[in-house]
Formats: sequence, C-alpha cells, structure tokens
Amino acid sequence: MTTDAAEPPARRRPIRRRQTREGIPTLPEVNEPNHHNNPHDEPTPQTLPPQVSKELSRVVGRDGILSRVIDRTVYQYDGTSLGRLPLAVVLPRTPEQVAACLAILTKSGFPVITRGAGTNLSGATTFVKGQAAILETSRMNRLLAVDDGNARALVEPGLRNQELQDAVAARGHFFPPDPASMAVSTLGGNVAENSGGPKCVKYGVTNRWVVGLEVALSTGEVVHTGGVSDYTPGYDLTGVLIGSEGNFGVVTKARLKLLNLPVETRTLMAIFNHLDDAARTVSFMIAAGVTPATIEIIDDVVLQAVEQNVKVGYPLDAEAVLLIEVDGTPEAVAEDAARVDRICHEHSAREVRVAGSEQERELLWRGRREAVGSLARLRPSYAEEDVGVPPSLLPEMLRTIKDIGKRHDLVIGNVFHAGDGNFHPVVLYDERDADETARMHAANLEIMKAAARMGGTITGEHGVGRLKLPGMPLMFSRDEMVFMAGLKRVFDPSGLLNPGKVIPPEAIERAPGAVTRDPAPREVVEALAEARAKGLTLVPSGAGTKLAVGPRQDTPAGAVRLDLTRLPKVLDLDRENLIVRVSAGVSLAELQAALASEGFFFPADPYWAGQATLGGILATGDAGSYRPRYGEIRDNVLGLSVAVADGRSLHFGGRTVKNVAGFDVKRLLIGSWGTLGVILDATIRVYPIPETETVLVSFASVDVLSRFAGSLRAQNDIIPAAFDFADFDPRAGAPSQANNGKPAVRLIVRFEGSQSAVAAQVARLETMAEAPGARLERLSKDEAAAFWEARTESAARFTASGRAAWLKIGFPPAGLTELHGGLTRLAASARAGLAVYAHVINGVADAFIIPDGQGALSGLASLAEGLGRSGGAIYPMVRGRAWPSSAFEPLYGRRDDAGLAARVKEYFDPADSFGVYRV
Amino acid sequence: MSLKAIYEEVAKCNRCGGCQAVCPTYAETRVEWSVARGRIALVRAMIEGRLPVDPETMAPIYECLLCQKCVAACPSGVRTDQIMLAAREELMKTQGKPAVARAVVRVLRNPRPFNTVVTLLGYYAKTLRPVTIVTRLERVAGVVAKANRLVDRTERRSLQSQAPRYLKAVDSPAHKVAYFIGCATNRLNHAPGIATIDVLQRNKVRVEVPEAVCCGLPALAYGDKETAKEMARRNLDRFAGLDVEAVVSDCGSCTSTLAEYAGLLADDPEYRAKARALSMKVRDISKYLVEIGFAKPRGEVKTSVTYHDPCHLCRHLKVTAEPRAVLKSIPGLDFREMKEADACCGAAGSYMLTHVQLSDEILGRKVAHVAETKAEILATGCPACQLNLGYGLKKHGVPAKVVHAVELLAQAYRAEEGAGTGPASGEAEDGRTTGARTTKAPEKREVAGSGR
Repeated sequence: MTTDAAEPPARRRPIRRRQTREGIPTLPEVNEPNHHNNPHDEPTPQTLPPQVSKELSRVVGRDGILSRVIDRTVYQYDGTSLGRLPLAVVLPRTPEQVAACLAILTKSGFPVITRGAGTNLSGATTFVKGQAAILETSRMNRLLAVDDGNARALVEPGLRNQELQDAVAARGHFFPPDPASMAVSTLGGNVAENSGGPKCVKYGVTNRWVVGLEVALSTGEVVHTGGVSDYTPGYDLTGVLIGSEGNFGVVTKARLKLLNLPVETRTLMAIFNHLDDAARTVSFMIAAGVTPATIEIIDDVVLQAVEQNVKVGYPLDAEAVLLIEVDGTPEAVAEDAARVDRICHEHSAREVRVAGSEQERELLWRGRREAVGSLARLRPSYAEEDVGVPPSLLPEMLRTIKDIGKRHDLVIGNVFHAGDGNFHPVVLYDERDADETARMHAANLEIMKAAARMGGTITGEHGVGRLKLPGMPLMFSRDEMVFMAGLKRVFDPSGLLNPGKVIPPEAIERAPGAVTRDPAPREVVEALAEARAKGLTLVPSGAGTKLAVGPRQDTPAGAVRLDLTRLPKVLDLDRENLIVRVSAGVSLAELQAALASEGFFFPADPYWAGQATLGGILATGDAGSYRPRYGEIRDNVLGLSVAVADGRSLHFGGRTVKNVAGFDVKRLLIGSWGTLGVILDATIRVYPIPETETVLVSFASVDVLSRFAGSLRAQNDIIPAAFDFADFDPRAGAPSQANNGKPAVRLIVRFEGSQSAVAAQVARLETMAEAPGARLERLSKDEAAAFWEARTESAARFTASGRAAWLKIGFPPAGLTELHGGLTRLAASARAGLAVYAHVINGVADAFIIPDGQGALSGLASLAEGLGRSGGAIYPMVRGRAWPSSAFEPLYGRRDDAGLAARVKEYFDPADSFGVYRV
Repeated sequence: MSLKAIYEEVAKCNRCGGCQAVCPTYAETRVEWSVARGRIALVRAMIEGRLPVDPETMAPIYECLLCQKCVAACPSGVRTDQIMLAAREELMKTQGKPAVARAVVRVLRNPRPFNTVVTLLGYYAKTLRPVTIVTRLERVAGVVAKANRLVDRTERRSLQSQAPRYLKAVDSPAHKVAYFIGCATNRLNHAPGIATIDVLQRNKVRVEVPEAVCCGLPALAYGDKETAKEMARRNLDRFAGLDVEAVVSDCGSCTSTLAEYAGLLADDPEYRAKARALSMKVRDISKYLVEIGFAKPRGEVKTSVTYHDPCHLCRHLKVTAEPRAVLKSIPGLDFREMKEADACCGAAGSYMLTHVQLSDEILGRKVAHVAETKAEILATGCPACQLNLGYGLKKHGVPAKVVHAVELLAQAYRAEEGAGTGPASGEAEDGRTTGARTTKAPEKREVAGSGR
C-alpha cells in the first residue's frame, strides 16, 4: 500500500467490488486506493486453526474468544477505515491472559492487533493484507485505584478516558489529555497513540501524564516500566512505549498523573471577517507567550455546518472564529482573558464574546464538539487529516489547504487545535464514489507534503497507523526508518504485533524520496570508528560535570572522552514559535544568556547548571525545580539529532509541539547518560520569562511540613511553578542541621505569571502559613536568584569531598514524611550527616549521606523495599562504599524491565562503544 | 422500508464509535455487535451480500432496544432505529414471520386484546426460539418465571369497559379530547388511565374514550409493517372523525406510534390525510397538561420522587421537561433527579421477555441509579416501563414504588379536596385507590386544606 507513495494515487482507480476466494464481494477499501491492484494479494484468511483456538479458550474461557463470521465482521473496522475480516477476536481479562494470548498467537505465527474502542483515525487497528487476530481490551476496564494524596490513578487499558474523568472530577482532579473521542476512546488506546486534544496546548499530550506502565510483550513477558515519580533513572521505556501504536507490546496497566481541576475557567469567542487574521492572531498569541488552555479555530465551512445542525449562535457571515479558553487562578484567568481580548482586537477581530454563564460556555463548546459530525452530515463520508506546522505558519498552511481543496474540487472544512499548529482538515467525500475517494487521497497526500515542507509533521496526534504510511518518507530518512523498524524488533522479537503499521520494513525498501540528513560531524564519526576498531569505551561529554555520577560511575578506566564542546556551535532561536535549535556543546549558561536577551528562557536548572552543557543536561534528563509547571527535560525537547554507534546521523522528532510520526526514539536518548548514542543537537521549547517570586516556609518537623504540603497540593487557587523540600539551607555551606534530632525543614515555593497573579498566590500562601508551626519568608529577587543558584551547586559541594554518597529517589509525594524519617534513621545509625532535597509534587528526591558509612547499608535495604511497594525506588548517583547494584539498577530492588533495557542497549550499541549498561 | 432503501442511511455511519458511550446493551456485553456501529456494520454486510439475512446475523439486530440513545448521540445523526426496523422487516419478508411475532401480533390484533395475559405468555414461552438467542429449555422456563414476576397483577375487566364509571360530564368544557387507552393500561393496570381521565376532567377537559386497538408498535418492532398499518387504519376509523382538539395517551410508546401514523400510511391514499391529522393531534398526557396550563395542585403529597424517562417519550417525542414540570408542581413532593434518567430500563416492549438476561442487566443499572436517589417513589410516563421497573425494584429489594407521573398529580388534586373525601374517580374497580399504590397509608399524608 505504500509501494508508490510518491505517485499521485489519483492515477490508480480503485475497483468498486472484488470477488474474493470465498465468493463474497467485499467493500471497496476505505482510504485504500492502492490496495485493490496489489497483484500479490493473499487469499482472504479463514479462522484460527482449531488447535490454536482451543489453546486460547483455555486461557480466556469460551466466551473470551469470538470467531463466527458475524463476530469478525464487527471487528474489521476502526474509526475511519474498513479492513479484512480478522481471524478471531480475543477478549482477555487479566495481564497474564494478555501475555498468554500473545505468546500462543505469535508462537503459531499469527499477527495480533490490539484494539480498545476502535476509534482511531489512522487505520491502526485494521489490516488489508495477510491475516491477523484482534486482541480487544474492552473487558479490562477497571479503574484500579485513585490516589488523591499523590494525584495518581492506576487504570486498566480498556477504561474509557471519560470514565476516568468522571471518577476523578468528583475528587477535584482531571486527567489533562482530552482527545475528541474521549467519551469512548480507551486509556490504553490513548497511551498507544499518544493522544492529544484541545487542552494539550497548555498541558501537553498523553506522554506527559503517564508515569508508569505494565506491558505484556509478544515474548509472553509482563514488564513494569517507570514508577510512581515523574523521573526514573534508566532508559525511558515508558516514553518510547507511549505512541508505539501497538507495535511494541500491549499495555495492561497504566499509572497516570492527575491535576487539580482549575478553580476558574473562562471561554471567549473571537469573530474574524478574514481567516488569515484569525490565524495570525494565534501565531502572535503563541509568540507573545500567552498560553490559554485551548485555542481552537473554526472556519466558515464548519461554522455554517454547525449552525445548520445545532443552533449555538456562531456567526454565519464570518470567515473564522477562535474559541479560546483560559483557566487557572482567578487573577490569572482575568488577566489572560484581558490579554487574549486585546490581542484579538489588535488583529482585526470583529468582536470578542465572553461566555457569561456556564450555559453559554457549554453552548460554545457544544458547537466545537459537534463540528466534525455537523460536517459529516453534509456528505456520506469524511476523512480527517492531522498535520501540524509551527504556529507561525498557520496562515500559510490554511491558504495551502484551501488551494488544495479547490484544485481537487473537494469541500474541506477546518476546525482544529490552532494553539499547537495541529490541523484537522476534514475532507468531505463519498467512499462509494471511486473517483472522489481517489481525489480525497491525493489531496491528503498533498496536505502532508505541504506540512512536511514547512517543517511540520504528517501527524500531530492521530498516529501513522496504516493510512499515513505514505507520509513517513516525508519525515524520516531511510536510515531512520530502518532504525525504527529495527527498534520494533527489540520490543517485539516476533514482529507480529500490529505489523504493517507505522514503519513496516517492506515499506522502507520501496520508499522513494525519503528525507536526507547531514552526516554527523567528522570528528564524531572518526571517534566512533576508532572506538569500534580498538574496542575503546567512548564517553560523549560536554563540561564533564557528571563523569563520575550515576551510571557513569561504572565507566571503565581507560575510557575516552568525546568532547562535544569543541564542535561548531549552533544556537538558532525561532522567536515566533518559541523554539531553539541548539547544539549539544553549548552550555546552559550560554543558552540562557542568549535567550534572556530576547526575553526567553529554557526551563532547566539541574545540578551543575552553571557549567553543564545542553548535551549533558539532555543526556542526563534531570530537570530540576521547573518540573511542576514545565515538566521534565523530555517534555521540552521537540527534536533530537544523534550519532549512533555506527556513525550514522539520525534525527527524531521535529519542530512542532505535537508530533506522533514514528516511534518516540528521542525519549530513549534523553536520560540515557550518553550510553545509546551521541546527542548532536536538539530543538527545544523555550518560554517567555515571567514575573516570579520565591517563598520559603519553614517548619520544625517534617511531619508538620508534610501535612502543610498536602493541603497546599490540594489547593487549586495556588499553583506553584516550583514546589520543593529541603532539610538544609543550600545557601549555607554544608548540611548544618543533620543529626540534632530537630531539623529546621522548609518548603520552597515559587510562583510565576503576571505580577498580580503572583501576588495573589503569595497572599493566599501567607494566609495558609498563619497555621501554627509554619514560618514564611518572602525572598527578594536577589535572594531568590542566590537561593536557586546555590541549590544547583549543592550536589557539587556535597560530593566534592569524595566521601559522600548520593541517592536519587523516586517516591510518592504524600510519602515525604516516611521517606525523610527512613533516611534520618539511616543516617543516624551510620553516624553520618544527611541532606535531602525533594521536588515534592513530582516525587523526585536527592539525598546526600556524608560521609557514607557501612552502617547505612542495612537500613537502606528496608527503606528501598518500602519505597518499592509504593512504586518508588532508590538509585545510587554516587555509590557508597560496598553498596551493591549496578548503574541504572535501583538499590535493593529489581526492575523487571531490566532485560528489555539491556536489549535496547544491545540494539543501539552492539559493540558497547559507550559502555556502562550491563545488568 | 426495505434494506436497499436504508442503504443511504447505513452509509452515513462513519464508524466513529461514539455510540459505545451511550448504548445500554453495549454497556453490558462490551462486544461490538451490541452497539449501533456494529449492528449497522452487520446490516451493511447483509445489504452488500457479505452476510446472509439469517437468524444468526439478525440476532444482534433483534437485540437492539430501539431506545434511540445512539441516535441522539450520533454526530452524523444516523437513524439506527430505522435501520434496525428495516432489517427486521427484511427478515420477515425473506424468512416469513417468526412465530413469536405471529403470536404477539395475533393476540394484539384481537379487537378485544389480551384475552388472557397468560395466553400471551404461553405463546412467548412456546415460540421464543426462532427470533432470540434463547435456545435452551431452562431459559424458556426462566422466561416464564420472569413473566410471572413481571405481571404480578392483571385487571379483571378492561379499562375500556369500565371507562363510563370514571367519565364525568364537564360543565362548559374548555377543551375536548379523546383518550387513547394503551394495551397495558387497559388490561394490566388501570391506575394510570384512571388518573389521566381524572386530571383531565379536573382541568375542564371533556374526555371521551373511543374503543382503541393496539397502536401497532409491537408489530412494527418485529418488522411486520403490514400488520402495523392495519392497526393504524382501525384506530383511525375510530379516532379520525372525532370533534376533539387532541388525542391524549398516558403511554409514551403508544403516543409516539400514533405520531408516526402519518409516515406509516404516507402511501395510503385513503388514510393519508386522516393519519396526518391524527399524528398532529396526538399528545402525551403530561405534555398536554402543560400545553393547556394545568391547574397547579394545592394538596400536598409528602414524599420523595425520581423520574425515569421512557425512551419513546424522551427521544421520539422529546418530552422530558413536561413530566418533570408536572411532578415539580406538586407541593410537598421532593423531586430528585437520578443519574442517566434517560437510559433505557430494558423493557423495550416484549424485549424484557425475549432477552431476559440482557434486559435484566440493563434494568439492574437503572435500579441502582434509582436506589442512589433514595426516593420513595419512582415515577415514569409509560406503563410498559412501569411493569419492568416494578419487577426490577422488587428483584433488587429497593423499596421504592412505581407510578405514572399523572397518578401523583391526581393524588395531589384529591388531597386538595381534603383528607378522606377522595372522589369516586380516584377509585379503581376493585376498590383500590390509585393513591394506595403509591404510598403506604393515605390517611397519614398531610393534607393542605388551608388553600381552600
């Protein structure tokens, strides 16, 4: 089907009907213009052999397998396409059943397609060649736990997004990803597709809200990735599993992060006489750093269709409206709404209406929700495209789409997530009209080409599946496609999980016109070749700040540093889209200085921030205190260039905030400590510098602090941008309070936004801190700067002596008291000093034990065990003497994904040029 | 409508799957042929010749409740109910009438319907196999057992024959209506009918009660359009010539069927005009009361109530506010909205007997939502729902009592007249009052007499 992606599909005329071997005429394949002419088409498959059926029914019971023709008929389609009849449909109820079914089917050589609600728009759960069984997760639909204190939920894959929203809304939470299909689409499907939605412009897509997964593999293994905290040392297997479209494994459980429901929400509708003005308004808004929760654009075609269908009061004489929602604290909402209103008016908005009541708001959004359906009523079929471009190119892309529609004589409506440049052109046609269907496909391919040409993506949130395969060469080089296809085999050695999707090997062979990339710098290629030839270990490095930390403690003696700071430096700021392309050797300080002169910054302040290079920060992936508001390092990297062990230069990701083309390989590299490849440069997201204020709230005991932190976390009119804990004062030279029994402990809270929004939150916190036992201290700008700088230097200070041990700990945020108590006992028993710094909301802590002692050993085991039970873990950043555990392995805990991680390392670096990872 | 004719409607389904969120049968089975998207895919496969029109393919089509929740939720507005009916009609044509349909239709066709309810139940038990998934004997026994529990009472005489007892001369009537007695009210439970006549008369409406036959819905639901047309013609013979401003019914299903006579007989030159006229005139009782501005009762009914929206009433006729307005007009009555009030209760006519297990599962969800409100009374607007809901509440041990919404209004009007002086119109043939069905002890009720 991807055989001739470059040829215009219009030249091939699909056959309306076709006789199969069974003599039953089949439908013309929806969205599959090329399929019918395939001369090598295999015969329509029958059912599973009785032996395999019997084995399966022993696992899932007789009612867990459906194989009549009528059963298979209702599983041969998804949200957009019609495929072949599956061999059978298996409905497991437990992770063990999933694993057993996968093993039985793949052992017998049958492909398996995992399916949730079957709502995807990319043909991801249908097939048109060969045969496949469907593994449906609809019977694994429990909400296993909602943990309010930690704002986490544990779900089974078949639970619907909306069911989770309903259950947690009653407790004051929400799960930010909100795909249009959320009423029925399953969370397993959301994870597999890395779903987006309107709110992603502010909150990010699914991968920002998943902290851990349980996954059944085709080998029959069930492994657990991630944990309870936002940052888990080791390869980010969770990150690369998300968006793998059923190619890597079957998600059997997911641990999700929740947010407090915003205390206030306001919806505005800006009406424009010209579509161009509306698009330019969005570009400007993004460039100005205004981040509403949603910015949706609706064009005239859609406005009219909606008003014909449901009367919601959209203007019929306008060319476009923007539907904008702002949320947050009351002050922030008021100010953001005013800014939005001003910007819209400055860009020729005819009128800006504010929804005055919940009813009005609901009505405006009802129109948006009914948009695609209303369009669908105009013609029998529609195809919803999903391209993305950097926001500054919105006007150009919109014009291009209109042109393409005209040229192919097709009605195309536009209603989409303008804020992140994610287009959904809806092409209307009749799937029973072969000519029109062919024109639809031609138009869609042209739209993908235009997006790729503008530095955008062929798919922002729907996934590649089967239908967007022709666009893959527009995004990737042949090497990259080969690499991704190989990576699939690391997770799925059988190659039988959802084959033919995302990046099938046979498609690469026949893909002409793939992207070409600049080769990696000569120095890097040569160093890699030399390392391979001589069996050397190569350590990619920048400032060299973390060469003896974390996994790098195990770097063999005689390793050679590959100094990336000597390579030519690039620092290329795209002001309009708030992105920067920057090479690995540029130091964070250089980057921040360059950005500051333009009013921007990159949200990262890890240890050694003063010296570290961007490459090192990406390779270690630790964000520091910016996490609550801006997420992890990985959440702010849009694209990554890397030299892999054999010297090939590969690029993953792109320049758009939303991008689900191909597997998310860059997630594996971020946090890999340079053990998978050499990061050459990155395209990162930057933000306008806001007003900030930092407040310290001190307490006499961790217990009181912890309770205070708990009520602060539950507060939805105080939204801290940093929310840290320290039992020492980083500004003082050393941990001063260790071992005296009553440490003075403090919360460090930073607020960001406009002046008044910050002031209002500080005032609320002051009121809260009137509680007994709390002492609040507001830092001046200079004091705050000094504090944050001292924080980033504390690790260097503690470890400089060479006698300190350093633990990186993942913990459930509500378990701070237990964690600190355990660490204190441990340090006391070893007669050692202790310093703990934690990013509370994110469940990430650093503990320094000075000096490390043999005595610490026994307590550590039980502490690690206790943490393990709640999804936490302890990793040795600087190992104490006589501690067990190898790099990336938690202390006293075994990760069952270690084998998988080792296979990843083996795949990236078969000759072990980069060292370190050995389990 | 034939299968071919429904093809355009079928093609409108874009397979978005949104119906999964609302379909009551899918909520229980979680299998794709239990949801509109899957059922439509089966119909499409039959039309395109990929699947035979046979009982196996049709089983999921008969499993549809026709509740229309999917129609209301569908972004493309696909009329799944019409598609299901067309498919059923097609099976009738190609395979002949299934025995159960023959039985149902034969009984209902009788000018004096429901000679005995047991006769009907006997037919069900004997003839289920051809149209349902029920194949085993014990299941058939289960059906009989359920039927016995469902119909815990019948009326000895038809309401039709007893109507003169309740009809009063209304002095200088402001309105004139004909009351259409549905089969369930006629033979299983007179109370909604008596209350309907009563509240109409108290609002200065002159009521007449022509002899009706079955509205034809059961025949339609089984795909037997010809019989349905015949029923429609017979009813038109009796109702078309009357000098009334409205034809009122207490049954959501009958009302919606009468409202569709115009479409049903659109090709019948003789009856077309009459059918159109009747379809315009037919009204659900609560809607009619609101239209004429019914007198707000001053008597109190001190209890709590929740309301179940019958599918035909809320989605075919879009009557949702009116019954609530009636209930909320009653002083002392504590109205509590339940979750998913407009979800099907699983009755769906004879469905509650042809698909016992699935119907019971759907009902279980409904009962749980009723129980959550802790309301003492469950009001609704359809006698068939009443039957099923009563059975469900009893089965799950939920103490609420089921009534028709107008029964509570009638009770409030009676309370207005003073305790113990209930009018004759409030008494059923066997001496039970309608009020006695709703609360334990009528005399304990507080009565607001001050208003008089």
